[in-house]
Amino acid sequence: MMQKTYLSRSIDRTLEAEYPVGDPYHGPVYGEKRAPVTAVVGGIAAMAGAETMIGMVLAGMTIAGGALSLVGAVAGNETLAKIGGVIGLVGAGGLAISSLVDAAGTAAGAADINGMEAGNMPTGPTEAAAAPVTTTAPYIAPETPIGIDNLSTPAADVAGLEAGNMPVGNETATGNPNSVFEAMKSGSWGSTQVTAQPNVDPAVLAGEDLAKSYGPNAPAVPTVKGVAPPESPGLIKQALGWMEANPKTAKILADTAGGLASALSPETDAKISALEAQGELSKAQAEKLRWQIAEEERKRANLNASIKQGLPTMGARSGTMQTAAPVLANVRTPGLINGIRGG
Amino acid sequence: MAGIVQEKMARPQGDELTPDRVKGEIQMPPELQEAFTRMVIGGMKVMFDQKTHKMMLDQLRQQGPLGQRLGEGIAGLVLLLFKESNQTLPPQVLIPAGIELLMQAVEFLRKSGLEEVTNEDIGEGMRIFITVLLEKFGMSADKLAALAAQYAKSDIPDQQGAAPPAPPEEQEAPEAEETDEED
Repeated sequence: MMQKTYLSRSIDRTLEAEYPVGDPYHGPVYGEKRAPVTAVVGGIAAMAGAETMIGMVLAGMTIAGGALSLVGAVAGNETLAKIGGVIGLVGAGGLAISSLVDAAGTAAGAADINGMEAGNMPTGPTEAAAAPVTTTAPYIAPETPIGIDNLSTPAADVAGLEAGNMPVGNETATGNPNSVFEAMKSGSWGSTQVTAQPNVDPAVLAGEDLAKSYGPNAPAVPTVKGVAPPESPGLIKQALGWMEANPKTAKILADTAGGLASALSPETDAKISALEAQGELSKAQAEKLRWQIAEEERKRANLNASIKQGLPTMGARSGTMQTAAPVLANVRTPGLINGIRGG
Repeated sequence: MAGIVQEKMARPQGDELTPDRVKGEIQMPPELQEAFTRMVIGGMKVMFDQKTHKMMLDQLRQQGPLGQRLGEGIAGLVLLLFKESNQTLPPQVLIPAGIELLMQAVEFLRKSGLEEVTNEDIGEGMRIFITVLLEKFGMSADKLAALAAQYAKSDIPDQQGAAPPAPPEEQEAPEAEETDEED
């Protein structure tokens, strides 16, 4: 019979440092079953501590651990399921990693990304000139430089993006990836998007005429992020006085104004962008549907033609039936795909 | 343990892996939600916008297994977005956003009928996406997978909250705290 020896917690911890997971000799001691979890968290945290940027990326993996686990299980992908399962289990540890690296990682990450940018994908003439490229020691080892250029597949596309095809500027037209990137930068997200609304009077956006439109007893002007409110203390005093005198109406108008402010907020812009993006998806789906309809129409046209040519007709004199067998052969010959291609 | 992982137990092809289903498994903290949404929207714009849609189609039409094309394409897109965001996107959202974007691309492929996507393709795409992403940040995904495998092999109950099993009989009287067995 196998003899088991149980070590004290302190000895077990000491051994774990050398053998990170579990009891190196006889499996985990009863009551010590969580020790390997601690070891995994410790292992990840050690890696995360070494590279704070990696730590934050790994923290993201804990967020998506459930999704990875699901996909891994359904798809039968062993690696993915293991990573997802383990990371999902130690999710709390992942959050701890996140909190650990967050403080130092944000500032340190800036230098890291500057390191990433050096020599790899300039965004455009303006940004490239303005972007400070620091010489801070990069987080990533020099032999594994980060950069889109290092990716195998999309490099050519990215090069196409860089080649001046996509102008950099204040454009916010959908379809310009640079404008997407510009808008993604939090500093310009709100104001850029708001000012790009084509149907909104700039004067209204600047808050000049908004108060007037409410009439003489105007409530406080709703503010839009990124747009400075007009300086009119007299108007505000007047509005406050009116609000005190008309509390119920003021509440209704305040709700309305709040809704307007909400409608002009960056969140709404994000929703609009999401709808636009979904619209593009819908367009692609519509394109597919068009192809399907065209195919169906062509199919029906062919059938109709064949039916017209090969309708069984009564021989006026002979009184016999004639079938459309030869015509059916003609229908098959060109093929639907060739027919669609115009061949 | 019964197994955290059911190895090589792929289910039959179905519609289990939808964007909504996968997104539902992403536990995004509220403070990162806005950045996550921004990144997904930016990625969808690049993927589906009229001017850049061709980029996506070209990527999907390249040679090689679909999973590889998906994984590398999404990794490139995520890194592109991250870099172009001028460091304003928290790195924590890279993997969740990439997963969401990959599922959007899969949905597009399924609905447009451009290519038939299997569950294996999705799994392989995500694995390659994570591998490429981690490697670009200087970390080997194999290292993480090995750590995970090591953990999975250890005798850990599936649910940590579950009642612990009965202690083995031998545990009744631990004889010595220190041994010199290793000698």
